[in-house]
Amino acid sequence: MSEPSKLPSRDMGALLMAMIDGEADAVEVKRVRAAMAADPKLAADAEAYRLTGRSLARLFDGIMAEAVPGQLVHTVMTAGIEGRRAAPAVRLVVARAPRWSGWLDGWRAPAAVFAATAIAFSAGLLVNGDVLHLAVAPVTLASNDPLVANGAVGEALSVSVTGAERNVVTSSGTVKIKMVETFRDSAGAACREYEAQAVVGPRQFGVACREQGAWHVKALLVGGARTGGQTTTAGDELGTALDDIAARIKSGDVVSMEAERKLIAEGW
Amino acid sequence: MNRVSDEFRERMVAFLPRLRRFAYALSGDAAQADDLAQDACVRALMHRDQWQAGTKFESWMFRITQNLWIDKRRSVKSRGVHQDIDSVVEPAGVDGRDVTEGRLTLAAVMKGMEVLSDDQRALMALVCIEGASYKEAAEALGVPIGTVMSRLARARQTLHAQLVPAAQVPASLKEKARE
Repeated sequence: MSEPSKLPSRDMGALLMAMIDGEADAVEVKRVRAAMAADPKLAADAEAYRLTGRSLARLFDGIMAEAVPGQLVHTVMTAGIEGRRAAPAVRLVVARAPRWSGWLDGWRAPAAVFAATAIAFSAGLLVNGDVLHLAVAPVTLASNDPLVANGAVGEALSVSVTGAERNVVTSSGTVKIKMVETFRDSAGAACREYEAQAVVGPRQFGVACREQGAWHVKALLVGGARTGGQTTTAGDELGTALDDIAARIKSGDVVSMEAERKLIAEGW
Repeated sequence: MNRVSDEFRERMVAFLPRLRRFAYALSGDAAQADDLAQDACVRALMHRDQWQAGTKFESWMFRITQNLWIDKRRSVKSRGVHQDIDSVVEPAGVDGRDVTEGRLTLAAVMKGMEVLSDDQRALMALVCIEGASYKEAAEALGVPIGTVMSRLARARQTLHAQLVPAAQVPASLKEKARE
């Protein structure tokens, strides 16, 4: 890496940056490339700036792959809403697990995991966590103020058949929503397990049940951010965790495809 | 606090990984980053009406976060939090000297970020980490595009100057390897 050169002119310096950032047009790129060909120092600077940019991006990759702390999700979902109670004092595991080994370490403690999910359900809840390190933070919502899936997820829950992937364009980008399974809970309500993935951001794995004409979210795991087109392993583990949670809600067999189509047609 | 729809909240939840990353880039400290992200979310929820549908949600959130960070920094009158290099998430690198070089570079970049002003750091985070266009960065920070360009140039040159010693080490390592 070289010392930064004194750029030939202020304009060329700005153009060099613009080219690196993809903000220069074709004519400007040509001009900068010609200048770089004539001045190796300028070319070295360009490479150094690119390296800095790549290093910066890599430096913060890790935080994108981490599960978002449950307390943070809880704050967003409940702040300012009267009737929603604060998170329970017992926070089962903290989210920033990679730097310490907690007393609940992944699936190696199945009994404890069961306890965690059971407590969360009895609280009637939002669950969030990175299952690889089992960051689970149950959040209690008041029974008369449930978390209801609306918007893109709510629509997909109402109209998508199992296995179909639905691309929904939202103002924050395209979100892929896929129904994993439809089943009934012990009260006979239709429930659906789903996955949602934004182009950038964490994956969501949820179970929602149809109650009083709305999709009530019974469990929601958020994590496994996708970076560089790859989904982290944590996301796959979260999916497995939700399967386990869904199995606890499920009563009887999975709803058949034919019965599912009928439910969709009849508006659940 | 005004009534906020669940859809808006879900959108904010989906944005949290990027918000945390931005907050981390600003503060250089994981715990402070989560506090900052949480404060930004609460402020955004309180002022939900100030965000207009059709405008960029991300830019609005980044701006709130940046303003909060500046407020925090002013209130403590300190020169930022120093990041323990050992606690920086290590990259998935390759074996041998490249790893050493990579670590040195990343550590130096982190150190270099501390030297930047708050405005420069926010801009580097938006453009180099979040991939924002100049226009988006200008919108997020509330400055003209010309200011974005000149500030970015200064930030890059400052960072580059910080990295020079790190670059010299790998060069010397290469010399040693040839001996």
